[in-house]
Amino acid sequence: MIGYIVRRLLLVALVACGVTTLLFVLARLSGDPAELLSPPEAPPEVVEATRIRLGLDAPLAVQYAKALASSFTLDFGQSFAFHQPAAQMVFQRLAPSLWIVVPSIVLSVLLSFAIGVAAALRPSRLSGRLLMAGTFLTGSVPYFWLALLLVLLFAVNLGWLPATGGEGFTSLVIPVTALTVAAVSTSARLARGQLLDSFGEGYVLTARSKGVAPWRVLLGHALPGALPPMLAWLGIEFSFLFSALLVLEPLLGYNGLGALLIRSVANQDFPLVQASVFCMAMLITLVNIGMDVIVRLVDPRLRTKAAT
Amino acid sequence: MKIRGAVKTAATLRPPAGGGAGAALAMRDVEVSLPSARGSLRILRGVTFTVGRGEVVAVAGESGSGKSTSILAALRLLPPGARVTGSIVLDGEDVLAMPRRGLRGLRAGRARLVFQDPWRALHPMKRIGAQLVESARTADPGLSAAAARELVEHTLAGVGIPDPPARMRSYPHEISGGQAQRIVIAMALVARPAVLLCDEPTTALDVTTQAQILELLRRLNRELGISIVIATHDLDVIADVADRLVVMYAGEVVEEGPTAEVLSAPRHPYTWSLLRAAPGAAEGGRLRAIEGRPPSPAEEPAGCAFAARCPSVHEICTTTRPEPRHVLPGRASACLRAEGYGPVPAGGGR
Ligand SMILES: Nc1ncnc2c1ncn2[C@@H]1O[C@H](COP(=O)(O)OP(=O)(O)OP(=O)(O)O)[C@@H](O)[C@H]1O
Ligand SMILES: [Mg+2]
Repeated sequence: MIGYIVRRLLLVALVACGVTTLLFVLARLSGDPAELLSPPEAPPEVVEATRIRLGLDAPLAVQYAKALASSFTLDFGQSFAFHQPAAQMVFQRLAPSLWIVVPSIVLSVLLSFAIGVAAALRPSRLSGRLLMAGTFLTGSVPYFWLALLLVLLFAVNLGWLPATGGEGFTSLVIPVTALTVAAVSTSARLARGQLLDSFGEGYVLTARSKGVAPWRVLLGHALPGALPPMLAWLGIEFSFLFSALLVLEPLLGYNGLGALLIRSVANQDFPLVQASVFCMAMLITLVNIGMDVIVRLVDPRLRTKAAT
Repeated sequence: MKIRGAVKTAATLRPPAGGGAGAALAMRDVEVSLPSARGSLRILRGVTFTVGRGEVVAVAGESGSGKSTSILAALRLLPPGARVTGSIVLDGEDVLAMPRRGLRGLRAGRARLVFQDPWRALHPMKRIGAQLVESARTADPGLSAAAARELVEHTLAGVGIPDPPARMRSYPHEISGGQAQRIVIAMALVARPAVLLCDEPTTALDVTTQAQILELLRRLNRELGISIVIATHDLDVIADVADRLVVMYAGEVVEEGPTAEVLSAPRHPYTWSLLRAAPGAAEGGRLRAIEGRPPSPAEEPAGCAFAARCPSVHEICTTTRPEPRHVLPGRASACLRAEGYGPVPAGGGR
């Protein structure tokens, strides 16, 4: 188990280097930030001074080495546009984003579990089929469209909720609802399918043949068997929700990491782009590794194989 | 003998074997239909047999003959959508008419199942000890956790598991097939059941372990008076264990009687063919499988279901459906020609 975790953490380092390299290459291909940040008709000396100030005059190899080092020291330099340490800005914007993602995850897990169980218990009856049809319906609604619809209805027409971010908890309602609905449909279907598979397993029949009460058969026998794929899916869902923030936050005027990243890309603000992409990539990698570890803790079969 | 403690308790739980309190299991005209993609399939077509108190009865037949279905029907554990008619009396209870709660009690404490594949039967993610303790405590909700653990340890020792406390901490994938099957049997025994229904309890095991498990079942029957049903497709295996033999073919009982009598003088050509197909009967190492396949549950043969494969088939067999009937004292056969049918000399059938 320890060896497994160490191997996974090495993978994290590899992902960090990979992300940094990719960003570095893309950034150098995308144009000259020194010109972008200088006044429109600035003489070449001014542009050159900006270049030196931003450290863009050094040889590429030196710049790349600095970029690589930054992913370990977490010092990504000053934001070109905001003249603040990029890492610090990203860190400040992370919390508002997590305020959207984490409640969405929690809500979607609870809801999809409830829907999945309800549908799995009556797979061939009308109510079970209706539940599944419902998840297909909500699953086919794009989350950004749903968010706009909610803004229109609850913010513009009814005035119950703020249309933009920055107004405390009420600003969370619309993005969290949109993301939860988007996430629930897939995970509810997964939960139902996994539970149905589990119901067909010999160990569930064994539990029933022992006279175990139905709710204990469900929670104590069928659910554990269905859990590993559901946990693995949770990691993927986390990545999906985070990437959805790139669209949702600018759309709703919400000041999180997603909006920051989009803005810094538009500004060609390299340090800020690097810091925010790095932060997202690490978060997603760590969450997925965490899920892997949890799956191993839950399933003893994987544990013994991994230990050797 | 570690199970002596259990002997005493078991004896106080019910009248002595054969004490006239009705049969352990009585299936009468049991028909089972299971839903399938192409409509419902008749899996059992009127199965009738009885297991007396303290008896060991083997239910034999090829794959697909309906052994598992009969056993699952006896505990109403068939998949959802199954339609069951007829009458099933298990340990004095009318299983088909029982309310769910009572049924759970019956499963928990009085009639237990042992499945064919022990690894499929055990939960792969739960410790063996936890699974057995749960089994003991559903049977007797008054049992404390500590008392249940003690009972489990004793029972595991009784079925021949070395170092029970260590095994209880193991997970199913960490143990051998023979041990897993013993553990599954122990999981049933901690309930101190009156009836044990075993679905091919030895098929997944090697020959030596097979013999040990059957010996264990025989001993449990003798010492605890547990009535046992053993489903098997291998007649050789149960010859020494079963008091009576029920032979099934295509969802019907085709022959029934005391094991020794049925094996030495079968009254149904299917039994005879099965005997010839058994590995022990293969003289000079030659093994004869029964030619052809049994009819699928979707087919409805007009006459005898075995007619197409029968070595001594007669015209009437393809048009008239035979019903099981008494052919000798204690013997029943569903062959129209059972009276005229003697042991066919080996090799003389064709
Ligand atoms: N859930 C099901 N749905 C439809 N048909 C089924 C189902 N389960 C079993 N059957 C069919 O019922 C028939 C009897 O099956 P059963 O499992 O009772 O046979 P068996 O005698 O136990 O055979 P085996 O030796 O293979 O275990 C088979 O033809 C099988 O295909
Ligand atoms: Mg079977």
